[in-house]
Amino acid sequence: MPEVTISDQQREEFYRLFPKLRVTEHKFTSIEDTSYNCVAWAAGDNVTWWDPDPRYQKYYYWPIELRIGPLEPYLQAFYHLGYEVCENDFLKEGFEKIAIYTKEQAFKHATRQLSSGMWTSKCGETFDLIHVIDALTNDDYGIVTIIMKRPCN
Amino acid sequence: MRKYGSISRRERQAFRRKLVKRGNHSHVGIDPSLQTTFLALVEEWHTAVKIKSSIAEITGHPAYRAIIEMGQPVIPFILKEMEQRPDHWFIALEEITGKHPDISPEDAGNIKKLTKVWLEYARSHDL
Repeated sequence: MPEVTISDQQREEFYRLFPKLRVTEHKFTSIEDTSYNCVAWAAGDNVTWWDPDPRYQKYYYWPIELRIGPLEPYLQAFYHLGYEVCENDFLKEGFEKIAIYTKEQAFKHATRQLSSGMWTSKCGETFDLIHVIDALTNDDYGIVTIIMKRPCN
Repeated sequence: MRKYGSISRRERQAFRRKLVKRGNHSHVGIDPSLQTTFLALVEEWHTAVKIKSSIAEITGHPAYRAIIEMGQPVIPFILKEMEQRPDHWFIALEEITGKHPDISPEDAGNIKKLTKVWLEYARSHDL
C-alpha cells in the first residue's frame, strides 16, 4: 500500500491521540474517509460502515443476527467470516490474522495483519495506516486482548 | 463549569431558552447565531469522535445530542453538512423529525447512498 501524504497538523493530532505511533514504524495509506470503519476494514471491506447496534440496524451493516453485547457480536461476526481465536500475533504462512482492541471488556477497534507482519487499521472516520500491532493503544481503544486467525490462499 | 468546545453549558441553556421563546419549529430565515452554534457543535463533535467506530459512541456524544436538542431549526444546516460531507446525520434527522425514508436493506452501511436517499427525502418532504 503506497504512503499517503497528510498535513503536519493532521499528523501531530494523530500522534497526540496515539502516542505510541510517534515512536514506532508506521505509514498513512489513505486520506480521511467516512465510508467505512475499522471493523469493515479488518474484514477487507472499504465501502461499508459496520455496526451491530440494533437501534440503527437499517442504517448500518452487520453480517450476523447477533447484535447485543459489548464484545460478543464482534467475535461472532469474525467467527462467521472464518476466523477463530488464536494464541499469538506471529505471522503464520497460510493464515491471516486480526487483532481486537478492547477496553473494560468492550470492543473498541479491530486491525488486520498484512503479509509483511505489520498491521493495517482504519481509525474511525480518519485514515488507514500501517503500524505495529499495539501502536494504537490509548484511552479510547484500550489494548489488544484478542487475536484471531483464518486460513488464506 | 464544563465546556463543550467553544460553547459553554450556560450559553447552550441561553440558546435553548431562545428557541423556546420563539417557537422550536419556526423557519424564519437563517439565524446567524444559530448557525454559529451549530457549526461549533459540529466541530466539537467531529474532533471528539473522529477515531471512533461505534455508532452508539458517535451519536451519543454530548455535542451530537445538543444538535438534536436544537430541533427543527437546524435541519437546513444538517442537510447542508450532508451535501458537503456524508456523515452520520441520519440518526439526528430521524430523531428531530420523527420521520425517515424507506431504506433498502442492501444500502445499510453505505454512507454515501444513505446520504443521497436522505437528501432526496428531505427535498421531497420539504424538511
